[in-house]
Amino acid sequence: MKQWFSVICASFMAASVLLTACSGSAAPSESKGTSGGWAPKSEIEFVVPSAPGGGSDTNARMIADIAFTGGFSPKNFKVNNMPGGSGGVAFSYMATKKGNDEILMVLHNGQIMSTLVNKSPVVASDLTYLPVVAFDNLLLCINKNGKYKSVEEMIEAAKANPGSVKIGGSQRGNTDHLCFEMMRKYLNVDITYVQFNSSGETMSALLGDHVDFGIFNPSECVGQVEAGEIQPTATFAENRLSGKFAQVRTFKEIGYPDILVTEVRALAGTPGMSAEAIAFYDDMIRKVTETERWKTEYIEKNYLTPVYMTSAEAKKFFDEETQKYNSIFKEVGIIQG
Amino acid sequence: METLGLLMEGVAISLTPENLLACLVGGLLGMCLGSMPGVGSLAGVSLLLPLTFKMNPTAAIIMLAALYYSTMYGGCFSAILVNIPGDSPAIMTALDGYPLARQGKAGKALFSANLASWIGGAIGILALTLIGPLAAKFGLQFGSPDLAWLIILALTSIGWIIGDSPSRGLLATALGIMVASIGLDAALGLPRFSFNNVYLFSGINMVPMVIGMFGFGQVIDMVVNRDNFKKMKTERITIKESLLSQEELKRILPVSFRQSCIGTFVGVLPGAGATMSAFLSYIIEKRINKNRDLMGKGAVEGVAASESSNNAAAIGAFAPLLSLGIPGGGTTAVLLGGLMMWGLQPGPMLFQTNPDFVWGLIGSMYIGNVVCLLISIAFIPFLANIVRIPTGYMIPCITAVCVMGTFSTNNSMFDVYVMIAFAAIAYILKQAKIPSAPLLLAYVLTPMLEMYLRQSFDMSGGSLGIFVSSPISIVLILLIFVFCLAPVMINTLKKKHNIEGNVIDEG
Amino acid sequence: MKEKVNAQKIVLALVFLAGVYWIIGSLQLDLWVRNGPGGGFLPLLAGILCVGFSGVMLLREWHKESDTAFSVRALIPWGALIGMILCGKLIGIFLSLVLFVFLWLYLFEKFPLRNSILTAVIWPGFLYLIFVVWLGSPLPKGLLGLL
Repeated sequence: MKQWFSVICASFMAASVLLTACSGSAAPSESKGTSGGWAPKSEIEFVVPSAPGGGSDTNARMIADIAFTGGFSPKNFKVNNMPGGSGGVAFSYMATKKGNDEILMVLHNGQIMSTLVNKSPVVASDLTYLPVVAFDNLLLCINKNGKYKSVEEMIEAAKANPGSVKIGGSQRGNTDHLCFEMMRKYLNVDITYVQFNSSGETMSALLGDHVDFGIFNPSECVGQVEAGEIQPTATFAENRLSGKFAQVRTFKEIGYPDILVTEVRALAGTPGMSAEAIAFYDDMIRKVTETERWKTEYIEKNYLTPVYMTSAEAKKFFDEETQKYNSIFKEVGIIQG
Repeated sequence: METLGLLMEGVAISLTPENLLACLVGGLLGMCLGSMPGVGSLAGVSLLLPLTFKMNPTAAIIMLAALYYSTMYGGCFSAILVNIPGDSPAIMTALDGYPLARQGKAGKALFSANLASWIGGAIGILALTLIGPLAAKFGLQFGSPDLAWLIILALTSIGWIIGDSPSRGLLATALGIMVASIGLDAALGLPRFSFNNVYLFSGINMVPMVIGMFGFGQVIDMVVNRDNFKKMKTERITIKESLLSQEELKRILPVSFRQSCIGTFVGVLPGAGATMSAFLSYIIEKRINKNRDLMGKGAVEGVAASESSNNAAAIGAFAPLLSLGIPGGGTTAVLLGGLMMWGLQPGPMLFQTNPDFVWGLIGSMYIGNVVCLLISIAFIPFLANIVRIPTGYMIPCITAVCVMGTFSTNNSMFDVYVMIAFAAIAYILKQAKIPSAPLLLAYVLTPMLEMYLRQSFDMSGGSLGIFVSSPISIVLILLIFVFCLAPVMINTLKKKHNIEGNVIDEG
Repeated sequence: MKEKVNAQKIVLALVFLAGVYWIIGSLQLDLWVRNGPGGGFLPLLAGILCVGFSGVMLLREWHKESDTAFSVRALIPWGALIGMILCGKLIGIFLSLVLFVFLWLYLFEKFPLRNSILTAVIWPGFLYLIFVVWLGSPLPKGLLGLL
């Protein structure tokens, strides 16, 4: 009786497995010969330090899909989500896989920051930096019925009533928080940061008029902006953004060129990755970022700025960035000592 | 009415073969996944999402949505049959469902759960159709102080309600808060009580705790109390037997209706989800139902309250998602990512720019809900007979599911260790008759409370006034009073009255 | 093999100690940060409640007999699972699970050999299809790198 039950379930399951396996089928692996040298010998594990469905996860899956179906990688990828410790768990995992070249991780500068702030045992500089693939920008937004309509009004109100202006962002010790701290320092005002678990909650708070300003990526607020409920008042980017956000002033234009925060999406490998493997991934990722599909389905859709930096350039970039984060966070007291 | 017209069009769209198939596949997968401990709607949706890259957006969302609400149907199977909630919204279902199964009434429990789930879904879908955008807008009015009061309401009620001794229940609540404080704190983002272990940085995960305390804890119970299990009835259960009598139907219908309304509403609130709605509904029902003493020991009302609420909340979470582009919870956050992936712009304009998509989805929910009901009822005899499998086989098999289910949530063996540890903790606590459920519930609610408190104080600059400044807060404070303090005061007054009465009689 | 120890008192004492530990721990954290409760606030509150309730209950129950008791039998599944995991470090968790199921059914439950083997292969195999193949959760492989 028990076996009968198991057999029925097994065949039912087998049918569903077949169904999902077929629909997610592997594309023909037409491996265009790699330019001599190293190539992955087994499935490549792709670690994502956050939960499925988020920005990092979509990034990884997009790269994996384009790289494999486009033939830039002879082997398929296996995405492995490891949320926890704001990146700390995934970083530690990568450190334990030292010497393994068939494993990648998506890296976001927010995780670099939070592992620094939380004094995680493994930080980003312990790993091998691989190419940077995109920049994401940040906007300061208001509710259309909000009290303050511009940065200048915010400064005025904050000077009159220190602590009364409330700015919402998601999480602590990452890019949203950094934006806030930079504003506090360079605008020289006493504003208050209200922290939410996600940008969805921050948006709810802004829409419900529980905070005065909110910090978002363009992709997180574009729907509300189109509907006219939310207006961006400033951007933390270096240059003006395009499309719907072309009218938004940069902090440089407002008069505060020091307020600059960008989100960076890149990849990383295990500590001490071999030079040949690095060269392979450099090439593979460069090809991915040059495809039409990447540009239209990922960069454009998510309002990102396309960038490509080789691993060497990325290392230099991140070393500088890490120094910057360290000094700013120490200054504002987020990192103590 | 314009809405009716749009809805009819939507139903028509959902009846195309492609969309019907998507609905069916999503529903089946969801029920299977939901019944597996450790796998819930989040895992299911995340799994299927990448496969929908190339699908037509309407078919894709129909499938994923069907998967989401059908996991609420599936979650009750393992909760009722083996006391392992498939996912956290099913924890409350296990409280009454499992005792019913032990009494040989597994069929009835399953039937109640399925019927209640259907009612919950139906009411949720109706609300979504008629007042979706409005409900979402109203949900925005709930600020951090209001949400904090809501959680305080839940936290203070739990200890009283579960288990026979309020003081033990409150002790369990306190323990739950303590466990929840392992990990990063909301204010400074600094790790606390983490014993210097990076795995404990972000705290202990919910799933290993639930599976450990309920699932593996159940296994330990089976080994230690062998004899209790031998006494269970062993006749085959048919659908006919599972049908509820008139009397039982009369008991669960009002419960399902009112808890569905509450569930839909809680689902709409930002940050609250199916788990919270199941808890709240159970607590409320336990306070107002006339069979309240039976609840917790095997009352169909308990099963109905929890199941109707969690299904309603799952649907309710779509209101802010579709009308505001804001996810109501973890699973809808993944769906939001999906929307963007398919090239849609989530936000208030979605109803206007993509009416086919939105109404096709809503139309499909009516159909999907019925399909799920029929499938789950059809499975009842099959499932209910699982209870008849000899305990000897169940023990290692359940253990295997516990291990694999726990591991698969985060691909982490540490979680498995946590599960084992909590199974031991649950057993130890049981020896002092300290119930596990309040511990778990407190554990889920505390981080939210800390966050809302932190936000409220940041917003008000330290003043306590913010906690009484909105009408919603006042209503919630009154409810806390009515639910918790009033019964205590009434009891004390009654006792005094009785004493006086006795004295007069004797005098 | 049941020991008649006053389980209630022991458990309450353990809980009491946990409460004390939590109180000490939360006092080392900030209690009030930036106008609001800091990391130590709620744990301190919880720790105090815990100590309070468990302390009161301990005093009340001191002279009573306990009607519950720790049973050594509870150690069996617990220990077996730990053993399985240790074994899994060598042969991989999945194979270790199969072995566990088989040994439990055959040695502990004393079921017939054929049934034990069949169940030990079919049920974990079925789970393997679901969790490893379908859901893509790679179970740890152990030193020998099997399965």
